[in-house]
Amino acid sequence: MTLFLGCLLAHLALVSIVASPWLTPNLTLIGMVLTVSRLPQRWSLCAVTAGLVAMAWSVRVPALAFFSYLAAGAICRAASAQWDLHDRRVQSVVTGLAGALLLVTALWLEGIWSVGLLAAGMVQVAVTVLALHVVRRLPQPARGAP
Amino acid sequence: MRLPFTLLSWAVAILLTLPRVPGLSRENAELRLALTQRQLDIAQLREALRHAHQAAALAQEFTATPGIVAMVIGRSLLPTQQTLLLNRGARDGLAQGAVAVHVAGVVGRLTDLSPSTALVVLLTDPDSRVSGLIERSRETGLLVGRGLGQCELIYLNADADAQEGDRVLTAGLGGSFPKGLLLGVITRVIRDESTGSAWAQVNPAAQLGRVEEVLCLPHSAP
Repeated sequence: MTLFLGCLLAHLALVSIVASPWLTPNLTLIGMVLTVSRLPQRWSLCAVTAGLVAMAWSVRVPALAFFSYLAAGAICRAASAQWDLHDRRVQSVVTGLAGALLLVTALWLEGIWSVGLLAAGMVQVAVTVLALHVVRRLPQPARGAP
Repeated sequence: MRLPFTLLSWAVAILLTLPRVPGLSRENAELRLALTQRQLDIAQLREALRHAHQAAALAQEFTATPGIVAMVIGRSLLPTQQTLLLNRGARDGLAQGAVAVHVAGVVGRLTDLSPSTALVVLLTDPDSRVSGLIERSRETGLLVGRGLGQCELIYLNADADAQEGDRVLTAGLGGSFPKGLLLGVITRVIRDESTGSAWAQVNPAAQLGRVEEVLCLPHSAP
């Protein structure tokens, strides 16, 4: 959970620094994927925490932010049950899929669908997948540590 | 003749210094610590001074309307919802619908309030709607956010007198925003003869990604 909370706090800090929210990698999602790869049973705790934090910023359909992160957490959990989520390729795919899910549900359910926003969202998903590989290289808590 | 004396005085100086050597490293470490502390103090004072300058500039810019200066303490984690979190809330006298402005121009509108914080929906958020007025030609339209860092001034006539570089102000229609606040500058005008309409891309005047302090004007400001 230290890794997840670190990523969440770094995400909060990063959105204040980077001028465009679309160029900010979703570090919360990265933290969730990496944490679930180590401690699959913590997926719900990570997802609920991420969802509640995202909800705090929400002005449209607040429940959407919560349930999107819950669904993203469930994807991570399902992937860890089926495949080796320590593998960086699996992590990349899961991060990309979960990021795309967050994007599409937000655009669709908030009713703000447009080609420009979809393109910007895809850029953010790509930036998030790239950032995953950077975060993976950072020193992390020992496997199995809480 | 002076060389031996010079050498002797050096030798004496060294001998006098030697007893102090063991304590020098500790003293050096203490001085470094004190220096670091002073540098931190200076950095904090500079930040406080900058904050005071910004607050004074905001207060000077909007002398006619009473407002509350608030600091931005966070930005949305959701890119589709472009919001800012302020360090002032209902307890400080803020109300829903208040307008958040920066020295450079309008930032957005307060939507959600807690006792100690407030959430501002930025002009660029897809939910943002402000009636706009082109300063030069007095053409009116609706400034809508598109979620991509820019806004669009829609509902203009195809022959509307709008051109690049025109400043867009709040029109004051609907009563949400006081009239005459700077919203942004037109960067592009697109005309569609077939529908008889036109729209303009507008760059917000305030750098919404870099705003640190805002002045919250009451909803009913003139």
